[in-house]
Amino acid sequence: MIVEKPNGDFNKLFEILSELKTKAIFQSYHTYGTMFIFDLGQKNEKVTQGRLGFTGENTVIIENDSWSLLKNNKLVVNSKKELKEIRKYITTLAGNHIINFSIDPETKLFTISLTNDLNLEITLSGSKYRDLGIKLKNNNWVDIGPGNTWKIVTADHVDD
Amino acid sequence: MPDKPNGKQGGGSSEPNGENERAHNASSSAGLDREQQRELHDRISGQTLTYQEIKEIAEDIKQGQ
Repeated sequence: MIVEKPNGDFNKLFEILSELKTKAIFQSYHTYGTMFIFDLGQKNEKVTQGRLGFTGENTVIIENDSWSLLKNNKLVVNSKKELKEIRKYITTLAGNHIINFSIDPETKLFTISLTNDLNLEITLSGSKYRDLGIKLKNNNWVDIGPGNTWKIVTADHVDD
Repeated sequence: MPDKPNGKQGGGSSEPNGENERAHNASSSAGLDREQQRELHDRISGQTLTYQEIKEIAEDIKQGQ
């Protein structure tokens, strides 16, 4: 079910996402392609194919093709680097927490600012799929992108 | 499917271009909801998989396996 229809009100979005601030990222890992996940806040146990793992009170999944991680405005790693570089540096997000979210509507650059002068910059795409997904503590998901749009759906929502 | 020299997986002519697109299409094809999409990420993490293999995993998740 769609909770919040696709729209471009990022001030409203940032108010909703404020619940993520100050929660520690306890795991961050590459998944596939250029995509990666980080979990933050309270840990919840889950079993995947017999293996114990954890999900967070909040989860952020970066699913788009173009992103960069910077420290003090200098590139640490981006989505164009080799997989081993992506895997190595993505794990270093653990231990940090989110300070702020921002967007430049003209360049479609969505930025997640983290502690230790880290910035994760995500270029929102024109793809038909979301660029990033964020799980809220009520288990609804925020889909950001494609383009300068976002929406909120329930956890059991399936796209048409 | 062998890795390309840059460490990324190559797409054959019958597969979606790009790895992210491959996973997105497999998820969409299987009709995964948001929680199941997260599960798909976890199951394919760190593996070198073809589109068909990802699609099979996505279908397993959809069936609750």
